[in-house]
Amino acid sequence: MIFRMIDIYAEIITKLITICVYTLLFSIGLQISGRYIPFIPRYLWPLEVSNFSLIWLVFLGSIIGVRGRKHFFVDMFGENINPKLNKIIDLIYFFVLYSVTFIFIFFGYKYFVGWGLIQNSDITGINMGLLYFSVPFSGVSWLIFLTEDLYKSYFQKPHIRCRKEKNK
Amino acid sequence: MSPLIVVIVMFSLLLILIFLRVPVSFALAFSVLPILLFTPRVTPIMLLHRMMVQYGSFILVAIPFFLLAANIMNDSGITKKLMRFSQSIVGSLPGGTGHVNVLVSMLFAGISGSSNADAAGIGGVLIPAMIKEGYDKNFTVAVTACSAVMGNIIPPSIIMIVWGGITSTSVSGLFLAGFIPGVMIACFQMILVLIYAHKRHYKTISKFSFKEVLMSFKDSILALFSPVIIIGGIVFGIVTPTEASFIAVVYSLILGVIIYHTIPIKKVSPILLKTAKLASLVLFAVGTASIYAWVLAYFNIPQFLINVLGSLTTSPTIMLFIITIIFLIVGTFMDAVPAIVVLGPLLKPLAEHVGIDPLHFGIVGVMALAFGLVTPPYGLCLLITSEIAGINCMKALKEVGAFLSVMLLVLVIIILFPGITLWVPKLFMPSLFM
Repeated sequence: MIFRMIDIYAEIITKLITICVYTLLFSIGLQISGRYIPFIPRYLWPLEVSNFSLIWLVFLGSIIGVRGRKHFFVDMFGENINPKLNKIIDLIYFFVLYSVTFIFIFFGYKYFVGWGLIQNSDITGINMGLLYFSVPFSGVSWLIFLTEDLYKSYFQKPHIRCRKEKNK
Repeated sequence: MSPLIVVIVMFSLLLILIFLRVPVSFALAFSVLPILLFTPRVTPIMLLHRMMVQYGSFILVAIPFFLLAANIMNDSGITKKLMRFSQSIVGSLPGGTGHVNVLVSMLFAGISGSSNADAAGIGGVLIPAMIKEGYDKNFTVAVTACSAVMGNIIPPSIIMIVWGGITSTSVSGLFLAGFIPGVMIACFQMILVLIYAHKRHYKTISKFSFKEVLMSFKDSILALFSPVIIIGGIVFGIVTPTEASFIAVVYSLILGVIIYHTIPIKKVSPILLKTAKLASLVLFAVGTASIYAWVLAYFNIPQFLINVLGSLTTSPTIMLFIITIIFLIVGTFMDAVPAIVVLGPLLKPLAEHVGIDPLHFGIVGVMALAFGLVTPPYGLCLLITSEIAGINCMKALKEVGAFLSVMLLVLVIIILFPGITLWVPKLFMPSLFM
């Protein structure tokens, strides 16, 4: 049940990424059109909207990247690594990612409340909290997916893991 | 805390974490944490804000857009048209398909701006074809991966855009400066293919026909027109690089969806999503690299480097060789984009200190980092092409080494003779040198 909910959460984030790309394309397109096509007004708001969508795109993408372990890494050991060493390296992976996650949640929340909620953007007047919320949000989402990964790697019985992966 | 301690702690921690398979972006963020413990004036909130400021850079939007344009071009079958055109020109040489591989990479580099997209797009079509024709798998992987490196050197180039944005160097100037080095790499690689063809008796694939050259040119002219729009637009100041990247997306969509009918409308969203996922990982690494770079700047590390390395030599050439070695080493284990964010602001003052031209410095830096795409452990082009060929990337190292040697030879020539790089920018943009 809990894993199904996590799957749905990941699907929602994926949909949000698609929305961000379309928003980015639309806002940049409008900006450029305004510069070169006479009857299209030179709006200023697309500048901020494109910036907002790019930032949300990056953080949402980083969340999906954590779930699939898709962030770029260097594999010096290859496939023939000793299982014990592999486990130690895996634990270091979790330790580093949990530490950065803690920073993003704890200080990201302070950043959101202390820096974001108290100011509005220059052009559109949108509350900057909407933008800065992306930091603690990504932190919490990493926490969810990291914990799912940790549970599946160390606590789920191997045959259940294999069966679920097959079903996927 | 002294700069030396900061350098030792941050660089050693970063290297150890990368060695231990921690993702590069997270390793960059984690490496600054010990410094924060001993520096109460620098708080994590300031660093998070630094990340946000970095993403405010309008030029970064060009990264997802150029990647998107390349993916759309790949899916729209433009590669096949370019292949036919390349075959009509160089197919009659011994080792014809190898030459086609190099030439089509050069042409595609003028459209895409991303080496990884080149490797995936061209490799997906040419690697199976070459293996079927009896080419050695290792040679096939090497020629495909190494020729894809041109994607970052021949304009438009995502790396050059990032370089320009981070080091405040003219992107138009970099684009112009990258042209001759890119063509030189293609020529040197084709000479190497000829040598391999002679040694291993690789055959020609077609007879030269002027009619076929004209026919295939006509068939691929719309695709070949793309670099004219993108590079011409930027160089002549009509559009900014970010705008050019958007125009590249629109143009490739028009080609794929409306003119060639090779991309159904319902396939557009999955292409967008695929690109967005990849671009966000690159950009996230840029964000954490900017944190890392900011902490280095806070402790005056660029000045520290000038004091240490600047005392070794005042010769621009020797200094450029030293900087190149640093870039080559870093390029082997880090993606070029975060590497530029970290090293660009660090090494630029050093280059200025000894009087290296910013465009020359930029091209050498871009080339050295791009070479990292074919060197393990983090050679993405090599990994992509090996995957397509179904071999372990380490098997192709001998052939990759041969190609890399000629590429390094080009790099040495470029370092020794700055005029090669600077001739085209001086011709078209003399204002940059006043």
